[in-house]
Amino acid sequence: MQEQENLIEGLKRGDPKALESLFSVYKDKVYNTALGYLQNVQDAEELTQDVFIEVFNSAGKFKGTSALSTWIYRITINKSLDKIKYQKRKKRFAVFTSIFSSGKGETDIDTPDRFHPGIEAEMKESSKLLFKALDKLPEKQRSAFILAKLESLGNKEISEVLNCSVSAVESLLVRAKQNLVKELSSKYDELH
Amino acid sequence: MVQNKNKDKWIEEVLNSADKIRKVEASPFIYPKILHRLKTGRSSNMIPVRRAALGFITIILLAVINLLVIFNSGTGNSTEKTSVTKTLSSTQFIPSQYNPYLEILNNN
Repeated sequence: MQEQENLIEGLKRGDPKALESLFSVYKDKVYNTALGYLQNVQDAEELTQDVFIEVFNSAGKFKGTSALSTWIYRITINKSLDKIKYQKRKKRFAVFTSIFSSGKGETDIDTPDRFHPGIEAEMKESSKLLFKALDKLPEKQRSAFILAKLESLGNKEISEVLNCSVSAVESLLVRAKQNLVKELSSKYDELH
Repeated sequence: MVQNKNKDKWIEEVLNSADKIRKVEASPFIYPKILHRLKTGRSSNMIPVRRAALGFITIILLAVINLLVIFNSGTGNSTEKTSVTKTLSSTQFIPSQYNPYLEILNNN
């Protein structure tokens, strides 16, 4: 707790050493959560940068009512969901942007290939299907599932991150699983 | 029955694949990039203002074109309808006003 306060104080002062300590403690949590949402190394790395810059710049706004890790998880989730929305918008307006792009060689129509480095080769196909189904879940269900399954957080921690009760998290996880089963069931019928 | 069993097994396998995803270490090169971005003050990947403005102008332009087309086609139709009605009434071909039984009665 004291360590957390020291870190925050250091960040508020703009101390780069505090940022370095924060980065060494939370980098993997942020990176893996981002990977769970984006399934792309480059995007997850960029998002990790965005999260730490945001934490550094808005350390003054952190009131200390929640754990530092909860606050960092919240920023990561919000930024990941924003990035997904941005990518979807970009895809939707790809035709327009290609018309209006000034010919600087930007390829806005390109969407990044999905690749999660934590997935083993033999599980690649199953994981790909799972992530596709996950994309179709409502945001809160998706977040609860990612935090529970990929980040191995307990229901209490998830409830703090998602700012809801523990029973609400349980319900979110049940509904997430039901929706995933429904989605995968139709995928099975499509494939077989 | 067998088909359903296979389906359930397949779904369970796909769902369980989440448990087998291992955690990965973040690249050590991210930190120098963060420092560089903090020094240069580069913002995150947001939509450029110019592009947003272009999008907004496109939407307005499309809305105006749509409205023009709707209003023009609306007036065109009514003129057409009026001329058709006029032609019909002059030739007494309005079905609602044409009653052959009444005509027979009148003639008698």
